[in-house]
Amino acid sequence: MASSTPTATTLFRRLCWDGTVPIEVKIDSKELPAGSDRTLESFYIRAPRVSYLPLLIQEVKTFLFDLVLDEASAKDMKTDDWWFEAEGGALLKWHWPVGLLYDLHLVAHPAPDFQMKPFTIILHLASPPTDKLLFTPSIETCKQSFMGQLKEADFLRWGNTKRVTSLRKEDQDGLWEGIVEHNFDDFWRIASKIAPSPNPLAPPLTPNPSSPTLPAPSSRPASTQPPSGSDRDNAYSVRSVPVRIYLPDGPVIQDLVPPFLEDGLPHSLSLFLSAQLPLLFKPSPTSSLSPVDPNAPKSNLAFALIQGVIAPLDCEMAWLGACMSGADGWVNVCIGLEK
Amino acid sequence: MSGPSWQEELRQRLIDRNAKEAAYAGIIEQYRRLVQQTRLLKERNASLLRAVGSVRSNPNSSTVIVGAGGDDNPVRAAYIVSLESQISSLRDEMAAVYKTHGQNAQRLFSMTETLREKEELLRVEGDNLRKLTEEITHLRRKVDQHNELMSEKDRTAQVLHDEIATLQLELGQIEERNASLVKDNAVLLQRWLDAKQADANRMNEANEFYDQMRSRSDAIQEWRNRHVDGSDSASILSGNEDALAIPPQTRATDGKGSQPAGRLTLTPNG
Amino acid sequence: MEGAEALETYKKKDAAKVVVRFKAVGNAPIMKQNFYKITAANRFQAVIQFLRKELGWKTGDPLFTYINLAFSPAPDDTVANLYKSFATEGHLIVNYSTTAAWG
Repeated sequence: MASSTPTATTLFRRLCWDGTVPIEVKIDSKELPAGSDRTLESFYIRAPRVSYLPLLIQEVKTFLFDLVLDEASAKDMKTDDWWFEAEGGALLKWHWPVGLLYDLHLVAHPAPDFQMKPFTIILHLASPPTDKLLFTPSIETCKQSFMGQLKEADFLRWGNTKRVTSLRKEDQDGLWEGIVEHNFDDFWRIASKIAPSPNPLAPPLTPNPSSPTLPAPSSRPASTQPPSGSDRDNAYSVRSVPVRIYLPDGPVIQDLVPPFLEDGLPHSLSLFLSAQLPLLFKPSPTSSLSPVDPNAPKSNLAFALIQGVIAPLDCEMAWLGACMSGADGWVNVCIGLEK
Repeated sequence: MSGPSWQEELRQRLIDRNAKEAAYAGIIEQYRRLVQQTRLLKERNASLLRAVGSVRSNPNSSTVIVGAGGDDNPVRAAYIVSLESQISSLRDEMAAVYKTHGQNAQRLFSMTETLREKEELLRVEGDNLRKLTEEITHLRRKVDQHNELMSEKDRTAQVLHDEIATLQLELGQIEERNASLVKDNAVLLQRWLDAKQADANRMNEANEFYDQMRSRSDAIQEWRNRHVDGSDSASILSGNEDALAIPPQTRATDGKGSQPAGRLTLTPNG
Repeated sequence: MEGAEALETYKKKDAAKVVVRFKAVGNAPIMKQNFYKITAANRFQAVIQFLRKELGWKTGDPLFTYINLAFSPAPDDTVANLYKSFATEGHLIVNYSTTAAWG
């Protein structure tokens, strides 16, 4: 348990972490070898949002080999050729977290009234489009990619990757193990050394977590944590918040996102989106910096989905970076069109 | 949960999301178990089928076992192997469940600990709050008292002001009267001095006159002594009687005034 | 559908180019030319492929690429995004190595 982290932050991290996606894996029946048992068409898994598709392969494989394929074709089957596609044809990347894949599917194919429905994905057994997937479904590659993302986020925040690289090898592996095992405590015990925390200084309404009457939790190792390292890890003193915008079936946008704007106000989701996507989000009433675009919409034509929930536009970016980021440290903002 | 409203909004939505996404959890878990069960039965079925096959291909052995209790029965053996593997996999599962249980117990423990800390904190905060509330009421009362005291003082001050004004007025009048008395006094004194001056003047005149008369009478006496002749004396005596009528008056004046007359120019100051 | 139109606008590829500067790390061979103008809309994967071609690398030969000697970007991230976030003095510095350096 990250005992040095304010309770509110831990609460949000826990809520985000606990998110799961019910997945229905359908096997493309055209690709099934002769002799397969076709009575069972779908396989259901409940996957953590922070997980990755390569981590699900083992379970799918057991199902497929034991119940669907006959022994001969099971022997020939290579999981390296497998790949997943969402219902509707979108390719599912190996190195994107399950939660992001699901959110992107939700914004591209919104269910009526956001009705809950398992995420149907189609398993193909052969001829993967490697030029688009870029990776093989290897768990090791997935881990490398995860570490790369973690470092990129670290670099964006602080201008170097010292926080990640100074972790011991066991801790670096422990992060990945935490994801594989979906163990919140194991993961965040290490991750809280990297992730910034929203400090009491910047958001005016957040109460000071270090009340003088609070007895120090006995479980905290006194030597490893500097007593007042709050500014060093403060989410509001980063250079840039690691944020990516995902458009439905479209490009991914990434830019520098300082926690404060030139006028000294905290950077909000509203300001960020209207600056990055001025055709979809109306200019924020508090933004005095940019001249109003004549093409700017009168009302928002789109909404922002973060961690599977519609985010209020007055969220502060730095806070999102600390409390609503994925396990890799990135805040993934999926854009969906308003009906 | 305190904080800006968007934080509260996000918190609520995340809770809703987790509830919604967990809606299928039970079904998926049951599905997983069904799959497991199916897999097991399928495997068992396969091995039993294989065993039956071997029995058929070797009819001699099957006749031998008949009635022998079936320890060597390959079908039974296959069944037992399958059951054993089921047992071992169930054991594995149980171990996993124990592990999860242990983890959950640990988590429960740490959460209870956190809860206890929070409750302690809450208690301290509650105490603080209570103390502060008490202090506030106490201070409020004090403020009220002070206010009352102040208004009381205001009233007293007002009364004193009034009194001062009255006294000032009185003082003015007294001063006025004093001034007029001083003036009166001066006039009276002047008149008294004037009167005294007049008395003194008169006494001086009388003394002078007495002295004159005396010296005249002495001269007459002397002259009479020289010309001893008694007849003359009567007429002179009568003249003396006139002269003698003056001394008592003079004496009375003398009694009031200080000492001998003679040289005096009397002033009131003496 | 205004929103859909707006989405289409954002899908259009940007033809702008940015300067990418390659720097060898360790005993990786040095390139004849260091600076290249690369279309910003390209994915980083295109940069990797370009680099492999320039170096004459065969498929399967190990090549590791890093930004600012710090991290390996996702190959599907665009050069534009990387340039916006990590450019130094107008260049996107790409380090390459034959061994995993900051893995």
